[in-house]
Amino acid sequence: MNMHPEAAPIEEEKFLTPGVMVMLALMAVGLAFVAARFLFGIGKVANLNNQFPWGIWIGIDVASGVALAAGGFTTGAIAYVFNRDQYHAVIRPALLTAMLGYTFVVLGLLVDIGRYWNITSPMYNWNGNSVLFEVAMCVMIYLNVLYIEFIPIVVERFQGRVNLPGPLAGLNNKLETLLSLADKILGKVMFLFIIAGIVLSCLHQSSLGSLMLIAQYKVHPLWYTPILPLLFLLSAFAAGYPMVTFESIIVAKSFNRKPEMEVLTPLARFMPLLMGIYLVFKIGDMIVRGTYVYLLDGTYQTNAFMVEVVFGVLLPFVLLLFKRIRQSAGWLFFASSVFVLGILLNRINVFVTSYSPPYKLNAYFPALGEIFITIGLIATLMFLYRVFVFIFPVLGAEPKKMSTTVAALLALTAALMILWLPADARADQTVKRPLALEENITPSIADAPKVAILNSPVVNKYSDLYEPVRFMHSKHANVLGDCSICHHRMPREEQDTYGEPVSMLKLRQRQTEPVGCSACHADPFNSKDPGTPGLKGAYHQLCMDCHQESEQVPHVRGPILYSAMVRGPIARTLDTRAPTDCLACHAKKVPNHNQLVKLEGQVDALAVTRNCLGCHEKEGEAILKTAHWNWHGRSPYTVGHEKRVDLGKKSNTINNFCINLNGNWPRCTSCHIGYGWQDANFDFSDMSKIDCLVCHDTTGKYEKAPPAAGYPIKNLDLVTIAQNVGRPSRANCGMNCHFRGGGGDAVKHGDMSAILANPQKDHDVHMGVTEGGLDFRCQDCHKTRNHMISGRSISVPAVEGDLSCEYCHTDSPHIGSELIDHHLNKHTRHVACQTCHIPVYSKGNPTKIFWDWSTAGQDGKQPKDKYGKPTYVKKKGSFQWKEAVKPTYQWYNGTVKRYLLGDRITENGTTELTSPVGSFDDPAARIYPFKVHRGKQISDAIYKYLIAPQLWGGYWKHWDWDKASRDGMKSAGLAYSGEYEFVETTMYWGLTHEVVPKEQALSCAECHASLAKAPYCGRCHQERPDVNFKDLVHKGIDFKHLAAMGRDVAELVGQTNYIDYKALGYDGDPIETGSRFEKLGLNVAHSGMTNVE
Amino acid sequence: MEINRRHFFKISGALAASSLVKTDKAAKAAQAPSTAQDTFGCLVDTTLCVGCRKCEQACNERHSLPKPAESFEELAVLEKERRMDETTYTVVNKYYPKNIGTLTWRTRPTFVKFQCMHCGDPSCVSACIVGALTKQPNGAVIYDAAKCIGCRYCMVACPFQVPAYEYHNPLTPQVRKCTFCFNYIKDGGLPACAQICPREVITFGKKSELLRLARWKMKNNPAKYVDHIYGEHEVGGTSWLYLASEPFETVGFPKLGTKAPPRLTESIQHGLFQYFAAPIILYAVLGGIMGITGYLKGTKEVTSSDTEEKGGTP
Repeated sequence: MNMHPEAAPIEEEKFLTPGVMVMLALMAVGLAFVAARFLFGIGKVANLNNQFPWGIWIGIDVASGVALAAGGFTTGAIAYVFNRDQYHAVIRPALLTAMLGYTFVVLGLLVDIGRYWNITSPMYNWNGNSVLFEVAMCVMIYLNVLYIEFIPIVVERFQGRVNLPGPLAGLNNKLETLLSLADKILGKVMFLFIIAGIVLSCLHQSSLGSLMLIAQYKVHPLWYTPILPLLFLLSAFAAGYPMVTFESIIVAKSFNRKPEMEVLTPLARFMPLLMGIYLVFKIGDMIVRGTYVYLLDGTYQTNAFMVEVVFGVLLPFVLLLFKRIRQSAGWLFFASSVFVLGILLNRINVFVTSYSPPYKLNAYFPALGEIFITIGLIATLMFLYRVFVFIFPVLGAEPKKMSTTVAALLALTAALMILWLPADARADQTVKRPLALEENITPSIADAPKVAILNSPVVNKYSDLYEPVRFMHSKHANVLGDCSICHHRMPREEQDTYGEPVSMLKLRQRQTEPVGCSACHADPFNSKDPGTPGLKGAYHQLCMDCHQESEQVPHVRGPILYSAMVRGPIARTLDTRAPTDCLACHAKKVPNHNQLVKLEGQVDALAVTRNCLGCHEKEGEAILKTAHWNWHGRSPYTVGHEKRVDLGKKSNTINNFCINLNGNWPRCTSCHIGYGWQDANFDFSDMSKIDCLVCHDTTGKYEKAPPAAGYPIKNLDLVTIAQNVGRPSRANCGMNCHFRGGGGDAVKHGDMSAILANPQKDHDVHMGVTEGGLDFRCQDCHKTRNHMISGRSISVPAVEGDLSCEYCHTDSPHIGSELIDHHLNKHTRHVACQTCHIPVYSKGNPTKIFWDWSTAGQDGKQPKDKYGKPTYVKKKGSFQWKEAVKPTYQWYNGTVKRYLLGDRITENGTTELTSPVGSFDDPAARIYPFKVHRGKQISDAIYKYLIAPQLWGGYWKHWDWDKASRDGMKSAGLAYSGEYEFVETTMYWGLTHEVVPKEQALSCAECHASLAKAPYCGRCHQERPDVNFKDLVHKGIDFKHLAAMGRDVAELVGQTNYIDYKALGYDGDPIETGSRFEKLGLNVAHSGMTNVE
Repeated sequence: MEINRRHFFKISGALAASSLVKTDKAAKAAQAPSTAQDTFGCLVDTTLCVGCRKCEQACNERHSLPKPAESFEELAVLEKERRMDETTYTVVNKYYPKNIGTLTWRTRPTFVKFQCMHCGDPSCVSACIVGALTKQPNGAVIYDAAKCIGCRYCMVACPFQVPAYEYHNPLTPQVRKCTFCFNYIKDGGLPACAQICPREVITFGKKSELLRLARWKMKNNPAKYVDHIYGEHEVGGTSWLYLASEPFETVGFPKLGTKAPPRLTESIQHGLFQYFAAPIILYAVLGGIMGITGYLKGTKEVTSSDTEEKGGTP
């Protein structure tokens, strides 16, 4: 036998070699990343995410660390349990490796787990079902066992040599007694710990394999097998001796010693046996489960598997079968290293590579931080190993002989493991259900209630985000024609929430109206009847499903595409289609802004806007694109200028009221939704100048100062106003701006005045606040998206969405099955709704109908007319007012001829500033009512275009038309010849507001003279006992009554030619002379008609 | 050594035989948790969903979660497939139909709401090392951050990839997922998402009733629904059930079997540790061998037969 020295601390070598320096550098880098992890969180240093929660910290630091520290217990088994003395030489290095290895597993864990300070939690919170719990307990206990096993080495080093420095020297004796106590006790009971160490190792090495079994559907089949714990255990056994060999030879090289081949070569005889057993199970499992089909897939997972098995296991196995390899230090080292790498690769594959989450939004590759922390931990381990071997007697023990009883024991243990594996569960079968058919119902029309406000407490109990819905019941009834589409079931008796199916026939037979929805649909999730949705669900499912289907089914008539919901002559925009999104049906509730607005003390208007924009920046950006902000926009309806995006008051349109904006900014822009537009240099891209309060004030106190370019009047409590913002009302739109256009209340628009703030139902049925009125806000018709407000008038060019009566009322608005309804509906192709339903405009509040600028500039008293309105003002000239005016009727197909600044005037005639386009022969044109405002305004005598005079701070200061013209035209960017004249102009203004209740629409007789006298309808229709033709033709607006109430309509009483047919192109009364495109089929007294008897 | 080896095999053989007896009991002990049908659940009829995202908003508000960068009214986010994260317990995703059929409603995309499935046999509950995730009697799977160590094993275990982690929280990161509004439903309330859904896509009730309702819907309208209730049997059954008009794998659902993963792992776990039989037997066997080989007596075990067979040292 050779004489080898016993184990002793390294003395002959230098501690700090260049290699150690490298270790220290890597440790420092690792430490820096660890610090970053603890300061900023795992996400700062790692690429771990919700798809890949475990990465190389678990795959390498924990799993591989535990596997490769297996040398400890495997050599322990050989050297102690089987008492083969010859292996004692490697037992201590193996123990040191294991002890340091497991310590660093725990340190690695402290970095990886998020709540590291709670790492003791598993000691008192137990989940016996969890494999990880068992791993944690085992590793914890085993680590302590390893420390205990290391104590004898400490004792051997320090017993009898305890020599603490300086002041601690007093403890020397105490330590000596402690060490000898440890020596005595441990000497007797160490075998208990050794056996425990082996048992614990077997348990947790296999359990580490069980860890990934819970991710059954996420681990690649090549690795997922119920015997994964067994494979882990077998590979751990197989990894022990190669790891010991690997580290032994490295250490020998590092300390310039000869590798202890007399120990390592016999040890190497076990290696092919253990590797072989592992290979048998691994490949056998692959064959039994049939997963070899994946081997040639070419995916990165399959390739990793091939590398792991072929290079990591098969290669070293084959090599180590040869004695020459086992006897050569170099080859033995190579084979052992390859196997060690193979195990490393296997653990990484199982925990990281094989893992495929179901939703792989981001892939996983270790971040630099993860890599450096891992490398840092390994470097620290190696550094500490070196420290320990320098201090403690670990290396240099005498090599001994070996035995082979280990293999039998291991096989036995493996057999015991397999017996406890369970059988698979059986797959269940789903049962197929039989088919069923649905009923079909044929439609018909009946009377229906008009408008329902859907505001049930049942719905409000569960959500209060939205305002109630104004549901147009009669429109739906008219369009759909079949009550049973919505009222699909009727309760058979009280409390019946399931009911029986409904049909129109059944309803007719029972002479009963259908019941409301809440008869069956009440609270949701009723366990007695889960198939019936609650009221909220019922409304939304029924309404939205139908609306979505209608959106998809266009209505084609000839070459024209109609929306299914509105069967008008022109294909409509999205606004007209049945609403399918939330806000199209109900507005959002405005939350109370008392706490949301953060303003203190006296603030100015701009501070308020800044506060608003703090939360509503998106809305601010949207406003910058709107016509209300820019005062110009697209106008696809202006003839000849369809492609322009800059038509508007801002620059190029003109009227015959105060004429034009250029030069007059501070006064005119008091109606701008911004602050400070006082000259041509206003920055329209500056959000901070938006005036939110003019539209959103609900207190009624906010007012803009007339000459202040948009700023509000002084001494307003802007904070209170800002805290009470809400949805705009008629007062916001109208009282601030739209009712007061042209210089005062009711001046400009014929159909809008301050009366509309709180009108009677008879004044305007939609906005009426009295019984029967609907109290609409402006935006209930003028639907708004992103602050772009739909609706347009012929007078102003910019358009942000079309709007017409048909959008709610459809083009067959006269609901009913009587013949009169049929006749009335036939009018809609030729006559606009407004024509009959706005018989007179400017009721109760006179409007200007004539404005002569040429007489301006003279002092004197202001005469008043019969209404009490002034007919002359020095600043403006002479006017005429009229109240309750009969409209002017023209053909209008939606497009407009518009005068723009710089256009040539109509010499020797009247220049039309806006005029409707349309004619008798135009099928898209209908007869519309208009207010016509006539005027006389200043024009350039040489260039023959209208002048835009500067009035504010111009004519109204110096009374000089020439100077006003010069300055104004300079602002407008047009040349001024120096000579001016006054020319006649007219301007058409559309009428859509002040719609009277239907009982007060124009009557048949008022337009059709042929019906005004006997036999009334009898000229074509048979007399019927229950129908009074005379009353029928005269049913409508009663001008006599209106005149009695004080309206200026005396001259309209008894008219039968309300519409001048001849002026519109007809030969006469269409009943007699025929419609535009059709002739009546009946024999009427008119020459040229064919006579059919 | 032959006598000793024979002796050794006799002892270990006897011990192995005795431990086999324990196998049956061990398997039975690893039973699934109670799969009673009286737990709460939710039935999601994806054919009704229009992707309005009110459920996401309600969940966000009920748990006072931070508001996302995009408003809940921004529907363009539906164009990308999203997953839950640490501030979002539920998401709605939009899936375009792979085959455009002839029926009108098939041309519409399918909107699906994803959240924790509150499985009947939850993998996360079984996996959690400290029992921070527990299955409540009313069906909810809830999380107790006080016990959690942040190991994220629950995330590895979940077949639906649900739990999200606060990776950017350095000191107190938590696992985040749908809570089933546990504090509300145990007092008779509704989960926030079910309560707010305007179309009542989500029906809340007892699981047995929901299955009955789902089958009734499928029977009344067989052309509308794929003949499968997702969640009825997947991974042993989940509390959240789904109906769809398209095959479930095409609308974002993972294809899972009916086996609940905890059954396998718990069988192994309990099998190994039933009465701690295996560790104790192994300990005894090793001790026995140690005794036989004389380590305890201090004798050394070097024999000529060994040296011949194993080709000792040079």
